[in-house]
Amino acid sequence: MRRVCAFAFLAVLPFVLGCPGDKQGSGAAPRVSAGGATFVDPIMQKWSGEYKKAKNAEIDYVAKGSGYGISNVTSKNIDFGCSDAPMTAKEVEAAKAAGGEVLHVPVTIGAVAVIFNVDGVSDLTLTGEVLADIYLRKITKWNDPKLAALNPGVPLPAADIAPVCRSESSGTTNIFTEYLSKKSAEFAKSPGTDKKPKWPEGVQGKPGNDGIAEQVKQVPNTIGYVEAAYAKTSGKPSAKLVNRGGKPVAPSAAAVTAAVEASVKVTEKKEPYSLHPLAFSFTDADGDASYPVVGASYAILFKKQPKDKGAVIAEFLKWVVADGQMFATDLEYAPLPADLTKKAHDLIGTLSFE
Amino acid sequence: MTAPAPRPAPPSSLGDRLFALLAQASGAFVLSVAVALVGVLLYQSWPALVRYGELKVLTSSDWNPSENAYGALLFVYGTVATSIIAMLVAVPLGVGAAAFLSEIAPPRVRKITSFLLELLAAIPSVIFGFWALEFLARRGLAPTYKLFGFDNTSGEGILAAGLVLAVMILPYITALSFDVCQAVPRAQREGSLALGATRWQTIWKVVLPYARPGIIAACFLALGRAAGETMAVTMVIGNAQYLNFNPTATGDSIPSLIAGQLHETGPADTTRRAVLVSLGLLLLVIALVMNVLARGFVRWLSKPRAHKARPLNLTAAPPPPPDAARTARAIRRAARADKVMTGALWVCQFLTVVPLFLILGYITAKGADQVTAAFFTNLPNDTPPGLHHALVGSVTLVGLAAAFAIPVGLLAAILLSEYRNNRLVAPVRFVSEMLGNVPSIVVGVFAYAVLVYPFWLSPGERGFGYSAWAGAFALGVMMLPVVIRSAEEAMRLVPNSLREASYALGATRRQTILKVVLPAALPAIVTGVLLAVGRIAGETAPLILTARGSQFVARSFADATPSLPYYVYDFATKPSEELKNLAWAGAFVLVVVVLCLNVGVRLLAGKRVVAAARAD
Repeated sequence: MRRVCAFAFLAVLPFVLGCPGDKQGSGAAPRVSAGGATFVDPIMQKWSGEYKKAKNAEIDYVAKGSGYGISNVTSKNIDFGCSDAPMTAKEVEAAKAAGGEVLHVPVTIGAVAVIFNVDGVSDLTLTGEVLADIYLRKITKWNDPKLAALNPGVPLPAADIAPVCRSESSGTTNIFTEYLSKKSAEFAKSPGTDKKPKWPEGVQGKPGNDGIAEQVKQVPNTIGYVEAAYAKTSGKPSAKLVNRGGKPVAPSAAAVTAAVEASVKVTEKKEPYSLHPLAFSFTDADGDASYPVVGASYAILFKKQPKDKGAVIAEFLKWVVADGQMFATDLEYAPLPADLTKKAHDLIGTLSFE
Repeated sequence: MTAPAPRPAPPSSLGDRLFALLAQASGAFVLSVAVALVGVLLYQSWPALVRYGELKVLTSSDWNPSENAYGALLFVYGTVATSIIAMLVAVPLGVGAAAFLSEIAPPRVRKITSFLLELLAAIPSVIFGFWALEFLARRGLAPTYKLFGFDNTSGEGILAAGLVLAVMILPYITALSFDVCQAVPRAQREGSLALGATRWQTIWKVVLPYARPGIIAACFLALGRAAGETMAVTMVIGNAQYLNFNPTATGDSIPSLIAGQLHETGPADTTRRAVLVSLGLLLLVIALVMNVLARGFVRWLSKPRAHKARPLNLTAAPPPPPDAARTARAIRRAARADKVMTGALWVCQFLTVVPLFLILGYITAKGADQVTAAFFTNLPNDTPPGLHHALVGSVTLVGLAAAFAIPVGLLAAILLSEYRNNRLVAPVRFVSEMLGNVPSIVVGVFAYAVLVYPFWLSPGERGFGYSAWAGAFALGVMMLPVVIRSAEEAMRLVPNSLREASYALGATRRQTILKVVLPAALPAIVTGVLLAVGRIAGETAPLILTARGSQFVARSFADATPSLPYYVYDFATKPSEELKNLAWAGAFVLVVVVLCLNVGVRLLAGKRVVAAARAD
């Protein structure tokens, strides 16, 4: 009996001691709760770490997909969200009802790499049409004649292709399906461009860019689409995609920058890009050096911000679009063009605090 | 004439009344939680429920919320198919193992096996999921599929999810079936053996038929549990949203859908939210129906049954004496069958404990080396990364939940055990038993709808958000029925003579409860509470929707609070070796903590009973 009591006491003790209580004194670093896209997660965590060192503010970014970012900003569960797909008209309307106007601040630009896991193959060239057929499950074998024609001399096996998609609402999926929809009329009809479209049978889902990267890394004969930083951590090769100029291009910071330079000139008239001043579609860009599947990630926040946290967020975002861009290339992202940095800076300046 | 000695004043009845009131209030609170749970779910799903036919929720499998298609048939199919596969595997094995343990096993084997089964039942579901993904699917099923030419390279899918569910419900079925086998009267067995039946014949013809209603009840309870399981299923089912009746194909299930999508439904997504909550309600209904059916069967079992004897026909000629040679053959055949079936039961018993060693072995092999000092002290963004914040967060969440559930549960148990004439007793007992069978994801939906993003807020208002409050509330609701049940059982074991002695000495009821009953029941209560803590410490599904995760140590209960099981789930699918190793280390630490709680409690309490099922 006494032994049991002593044991119980010892077991409960850590709970009592471990309770954090309300220790948030005036000296503690301010903490911003953020979340959303996994596309920006690698660089966002880097920013979070660097910013804590530089300005003593904690950016608590939890990656759960762009759809999560958009809906949780709208319901004010988080202070700002990130999404690689700009809000649609319907989402903007819901946000207006909840807290007024929302701003889209581009924070980084990156390539969506197509990674694959095929024994003995490290170099693969694909076209948008073939990639669309793979995700439509019309091409189901690695040694399909269409693949073989694009890759002469590559020892493609007779194995089944196992395409992997995202299981949650994802901006990376939006970029990828936008590209495939531009390339294949059939794909545009169904599944179409969406954060979470209805994939055909045989496409397996995984949560997050990391989920796809890990699946492709571990399971043979898979193919998946991830932000280039994840392609690097997975250690699996990325396919070269044939761009508008007919050149096969690998996803690299230079190829992304080329695509950005070609696209920024074009003012996008289509929704959802037309709804936001600094939203661009970078997919299937002109130019021989451009990688065709490129997207930006946006920090999404209400224009009206609370006084205390709003100022911290504005400071952080200003730092991100300027100083923060120097970490981009190392992590396989492309830095924002100087012009866009300035525009983003001005956009952040329009935030109002109350 | 001397004045009579002044009588001692009777103890104040105010304290007593207050105490009784407190116990009743706790009981009423438990009732209101249950009512609120059902009410909130109903209210939230109402917009969808009234349009169920129009939305084709249960008739179509076209799930595409961005195109306003809400056909959830494929999720229902995934839930049903995985549960059926689990039952097909687990029922024969579990019942066989129970029969073996009850009828054949030497006491030592029985003791060890039941202990191992309790450990298997205590392993958190996220650990099952992680193991199933890495071992069962990728190293077990994937090569098998390849061998037979199925188009499934990852090994994930309906079959993988069904198998891991089978492993999870096995200890449950075995423990419950063992209990009913033990309840078969000795005379039945002795009668059978005296008539010359072999041991197998006794088991097959006497013990199992007698125990049948109880075994069926156990199966219903296990089925309810399998249908509501979230983590293990979502990690291996493939998250593919189309209907394919081939068991090797990938699919998705209802709990997996809710855990993945509920928190991404914003204010604009009212229909999707209502449909998701209505599917949660469906899970709740399934669990409750299974529970009620199980109770029905148990009641049927407890009724005395008398079969009408076959009328004897004395005028008929006596049957010819059996042919000696034929009898000898029949006896030989029976002996052979006995040997074979005894062997088969051995195998059943063996197969039920093998997964425990596979899981513990695999987790230890992968995770033990990864537990470094950095694991305990660093944050995920440090180099080397660690899970310090998740450890602190888990302790916070469990501590907060316990601080809420233990007092309330204890008082409610006092109501049930010591105020038996109270009108609240029957409904509170019913409700707390039902609460214990509510799938954890449904509790998560409840906490999400009440605290994280309250449904009564108009757009633009803020709820509690992802916070320790919401997470601990969900865990507390899950812990409550366990505390009530174990505390009530413990107090009922206190002999009545103790209470009578206390009353005879003039103590009030409050004094009797506080000074006599509780101290006597304390060791058993502490055991029950610690088992409950072990159970919620590994709970993941409700935390995904409530406490979420965070990159930092939570500073207040209002912050998003990371927890160890959540990060095991999150990091289990990281491409980076460093983070994945953290997941292994986290899984290892979680298993060690939970198993230590279980083993430690049992060693201290000094009793190792087959009660894996009762510990829930």
